[in-house]
Amino acid sequence: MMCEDCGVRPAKFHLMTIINGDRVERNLCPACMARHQKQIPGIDFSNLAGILNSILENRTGAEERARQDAEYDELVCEQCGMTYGEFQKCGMLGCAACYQAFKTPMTALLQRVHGNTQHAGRVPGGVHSGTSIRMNIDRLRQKLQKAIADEEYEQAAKLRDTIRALTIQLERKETDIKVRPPERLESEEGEGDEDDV
Amino acid sequence: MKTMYEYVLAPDQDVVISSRVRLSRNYEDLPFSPKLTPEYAEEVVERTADAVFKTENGAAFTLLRMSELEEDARSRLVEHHLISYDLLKFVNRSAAMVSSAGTVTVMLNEEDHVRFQGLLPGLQLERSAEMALKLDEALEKRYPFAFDHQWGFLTACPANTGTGMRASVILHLPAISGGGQMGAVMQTIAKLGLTIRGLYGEGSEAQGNLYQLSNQATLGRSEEDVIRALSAATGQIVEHERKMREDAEKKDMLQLQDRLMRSWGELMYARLMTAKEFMHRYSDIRYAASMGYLHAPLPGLDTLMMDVQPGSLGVRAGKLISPRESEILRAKILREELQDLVAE
Repeated sequence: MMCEDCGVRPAKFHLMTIINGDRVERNLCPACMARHQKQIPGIDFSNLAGILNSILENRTGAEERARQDAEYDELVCEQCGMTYGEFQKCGMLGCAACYQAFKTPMTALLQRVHGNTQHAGRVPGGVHSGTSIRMNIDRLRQKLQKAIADEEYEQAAKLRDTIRALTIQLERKETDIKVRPPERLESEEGEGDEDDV
Repeated sequence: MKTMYEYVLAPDQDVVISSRVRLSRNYEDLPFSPKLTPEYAEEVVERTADAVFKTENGAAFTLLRMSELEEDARSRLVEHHLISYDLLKFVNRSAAMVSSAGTVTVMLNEEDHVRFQGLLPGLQLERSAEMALKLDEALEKRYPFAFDHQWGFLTACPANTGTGMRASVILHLPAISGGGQMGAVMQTIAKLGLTIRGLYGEGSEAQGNLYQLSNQATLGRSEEDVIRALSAATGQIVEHERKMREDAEKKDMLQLQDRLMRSWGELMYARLMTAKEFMHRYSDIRYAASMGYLHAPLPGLDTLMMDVQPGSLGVRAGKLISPRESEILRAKILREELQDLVAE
């Protein structure tokens, strides 16, 4: 089943919204779904003209995107042979290298789906991965705020220094980790020297 | 003498049935789902099984190849939330590794090569995440997962790219739902970048007043951030549901008791019970148990609920059964086991 909104990508979600007590149900792809969820609170439903306008804007936005996406249909991932057009039909990528092969449309797609294009989570690296450090920093920041509020400046200064040290440690950890470029899918053997991160 | 059952009431279990965290990962050197040949799929199973068995608690895991299971046995795993329904779309190549306690599962060759899952009763998202992450960290040391510094963990579907983490809670919301306030809750949830949908039933119909609340985006927010936001939102819904339950009781306690306990009567005496009717009755008696009208342990009710879903019934019957036979069997199991569950 195709997405009822853009008609380009396959539908993956069944979205129900309740607008002034009326139930609206739609089958949507992840990209359109994300957009809908963001817009529900934003639209002023008391204003009919506003609704019509936003619906029209949505439609032209979707058409515009569909046209743009069509331009990328011919992109091919050299690693696995998948084309961007093929990806649009099945909704799944063929291998890790596809992300780089489709970089331009992928960046736009990720921005639409997630509202962001920069990873902020865990980085591979064994037991001492960044997550635990980041959690630590989080906790110390809360302590710092409390210390400032309580006017315990000596304690606050100590906390600030610890946070700074941890942040540097975290940054170093993240730059240290060597990312394996996806292009090396088949040339993995013999280059294992970089793998011991 | 009656058998003794032991139940642990998890945090917020009056409203939150379970917490689940799933992490999607792909081996960087193997093609993804659409290009996965049977040979590569086998490689995924072998690598993962080898690595999981070698972890600290590896001995607790059992490897189940979907192709080797009967259809009912597969459905039973879905009904108990041990595997996803999607895993059954790839029966020829998919497998699951299930821990003996049923709290940790590794799904193989679903949409992504590997999906780690931590599942616990009640509101325990942090702990569920920890269980999944621990396995993830243990495995990545042996076989690297596809990762990009800008985009995080690379998944077959870009909707999971980034942390690859989907955290969710299953909520029982009879009072909010019955009070016609689901629409308002859904709107608030959407503003938080979270999504909520009915767990069972098609379309918007939420059978048993069960809803699944989960995070939407996986890119741009850390695992801790997402877990924190989801826990906070869940906490607020829990408070709201409790308030609505109290209000309903204040309004007319006798009428509320009458309505809920009638379902108990139906369950205790019915001779035919469809899955749909059962979900409705289950919601009523779970609500009654949470209010103290019925002295039945919530974890026991929840386990029983999963045990009488169609696939699980089939496994119990040990053979393929017709819809009518399953209605008869469901009613029989309910009569016997509910009686056992109720404290004297």
